[in-house]
Amino acid sequence: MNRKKHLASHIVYSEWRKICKTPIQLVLVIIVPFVLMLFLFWGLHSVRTSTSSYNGKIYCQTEEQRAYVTSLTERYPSFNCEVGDIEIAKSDVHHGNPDIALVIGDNDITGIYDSNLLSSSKAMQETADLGKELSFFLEGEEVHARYLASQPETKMVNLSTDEEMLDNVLDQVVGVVGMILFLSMASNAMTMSGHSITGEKERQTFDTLVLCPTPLHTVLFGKVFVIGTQIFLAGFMGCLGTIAGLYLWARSDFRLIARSIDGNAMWLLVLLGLMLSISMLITGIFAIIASAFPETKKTALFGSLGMIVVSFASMIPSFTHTSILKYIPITNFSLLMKDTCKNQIQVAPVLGSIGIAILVSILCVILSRRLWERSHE
Amino acid sequence: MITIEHLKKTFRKNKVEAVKDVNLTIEDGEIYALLGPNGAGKTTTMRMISTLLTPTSGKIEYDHVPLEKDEENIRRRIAFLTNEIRLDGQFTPNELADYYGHLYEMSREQIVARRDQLFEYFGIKDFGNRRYETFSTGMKQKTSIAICLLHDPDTIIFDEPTNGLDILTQHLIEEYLVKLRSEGKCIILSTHILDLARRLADKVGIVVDGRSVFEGPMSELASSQNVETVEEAFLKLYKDNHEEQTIIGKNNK
Repeated sequence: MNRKKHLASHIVYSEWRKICKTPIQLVLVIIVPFVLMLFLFWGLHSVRTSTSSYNGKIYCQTEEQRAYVTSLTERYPSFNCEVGDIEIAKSDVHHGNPDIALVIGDNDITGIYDSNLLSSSKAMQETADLGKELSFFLEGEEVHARYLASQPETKMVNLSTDEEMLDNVLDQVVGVVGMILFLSMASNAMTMSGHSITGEKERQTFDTLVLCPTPLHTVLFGKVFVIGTQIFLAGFMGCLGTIAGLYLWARSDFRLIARSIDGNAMWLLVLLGLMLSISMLITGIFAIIASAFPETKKTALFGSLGMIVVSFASMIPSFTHTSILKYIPITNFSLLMKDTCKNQIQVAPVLGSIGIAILVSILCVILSRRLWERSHE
Repeated sequence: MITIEHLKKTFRKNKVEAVKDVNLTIEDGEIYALLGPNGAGKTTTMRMISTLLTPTSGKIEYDHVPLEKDEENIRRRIAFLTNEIRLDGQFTPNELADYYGHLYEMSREQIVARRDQLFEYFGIKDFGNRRYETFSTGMKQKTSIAICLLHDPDTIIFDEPTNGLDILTQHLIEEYLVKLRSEGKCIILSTHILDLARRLADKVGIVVDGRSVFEGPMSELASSQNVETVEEAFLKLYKDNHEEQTIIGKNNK
C-alpha cells in the first residue's frame, strides 16, 4: 500500500513538473475561468444598464439655473445637474458619461443621447417627462409652480419583497454561473485528459509508462489526480471571478446576497468546496473513461457529449422543481447554493449527493476498467 | 529464459489474426533474432512478450513462470524498446532517468550510478539537462535505450532497434547488445534486416504469416533448407509457408 502511495505521489509530482514546464497551460486553467466570470458579470451589467438603470445629466447655462434645477432632480434620481453648453453635453454623451442629457438653452430644451449606447426605454420616458417639466421652468418660476400643482403626486410602490429580490438575483447569478462554471470545468477536464493520457498514447509515450511495474491504475490515479486538482483550481478561480464580478458590477446584488448569508459564509465555503470536489470526482472519472479511447479525436467527441450532459444537468432546475433534484450531483449545485445564500442550510441533500457521486464514480471505474482492458486487448 | 508455445493473437476490433502459432525458446546469455517479412506478426509477438498485449491463447513463460501469474514482477525484469516508443519531450534525460528510476523503485543512489554509467556509454552525459524533444533521432534513440536499461533488466526485448539510425549509432547499439550478452542477459531482437541478425544473433526464429517456420542456430539456417546463403534460406521458407489464399483474397478485393 505504501509502495503504491509512493509511486502515485511520484507520478503526481512528475505530472506537476511537466505542467510547470509548459506554464501557459496552468495559466489558462487558472486565468480563463476567472476572466470568464468577470466578463459574464460585466456583460450582465451592460445589459442591465441598457435596459433599466441609466445615468442622466442636465446642463444649465448659469449657476442660478443650476441651483433651481438641482431641486427638480430629487424626483429624477438618475439625473445630475451641472453648468455647461450643448457642445460639452454632446461630447460627454459621446463618451458614454452621461447616457442621456438635457441642455437648457435660451428658448429651448434639447435632449441628447446616442442610440448605439443607450436603448433603455425607461431613460427615454423619464427624460421626456423631465424635458416637459423644464420647459415650464423656462416660462418662469410662477408658470412652473402652476404646472407642478396641476400634476398628481407620483408614488412608487415596489411589490417585490427583499426575499423575492434575493430569489430573483440568485436565479440569475447561481443558475448562469453554475452552468458556465461546470462547462468550463468539463472542457478543462477533457482538454487535459486528452493531452495527459490520450495524447501520450498518440505520442507513444504511454507504452513506456505501462511497461513499468507500476500498476496501470496507479499511473492513471496519479494522472487523473493532477487533472482533478487543475479542475478544482479552475472551479475555485471561477468562484473568485464570480465574487469579484458581483462586487465590481452588481454591487447591490452583492450586498443583498452578503446580507442574506450573514454568519453562514463558512458553511457556504464548505458547500462550495464540496460541490467542486464532487464535480472534480465526476469529471475526473469522466476523464478516465474518455482517455480509454486511443485517439484524441474520439476523446474530444466523447468530451463534447459529456459537456452537453453536464450543461443539461445544471439547467434542469430551470425547467422543473422536484425535491429529488437536490440529491443529484451537479444538478443540485444551483439549488443548494441558493438555499444556503438564503440562510437555509440543508445537510441531507449534501450528504446524499456525495453518496450518489461516489456510487456513480464506482460504476464509472468499472466501466472505464472494461474500456481500458478493451483498448489494451 | 523465455518459452513461448502456440502463441496466438486475434484483434477483436478488426478481426485480424496477427499471430497464429508462434513457438520460441530464448536462453539466457544469447541473442535471439526474430526474423520475418513486414506484417509477419513480429511486433505483435514482441508486444505480447513484453506484456503490452494480452495473447488470445498460448503460453509465455519467464523461467518457467507463466507471464499472467507474475506480470508485475516480470515487468521489473524486462526492458522493451521499439523505434516507435517515445519519451516525454519536455523532460531532460536526467529528469527522465529520475522519473523512470523511481517507477522501477530504484533508490536515488542507484539511479544516479546507473544513469551516469549508461549516459557515459551512449555519449549523452553532456546533454543530460537538455530537453529530449530537442534531440536528433539518433540521440533520442540512445536516450530511450539508456532509460529502458536503467533498471538493469535480465531480459531485453528490442523491436527493430536500429531502424533509421546512422551507422555510428547502429554500431554503438550493436556493441552494447554484445556486452549485455556477455553479462548473461537474454536478448530478443526483432528485425527484417538479415545482415543485423547474421552479425549478432546466436539463434534465429523465422515467422511467416504469424506462424513460426524455423528455429535454430543462425549457422544452421542455410543448411537446413539445402541452400547456400541465409538470404536464399529465408526466401525459400517464405515461399514454402506464405499462405496463397491471402494473396488470392487480396486480389479478389
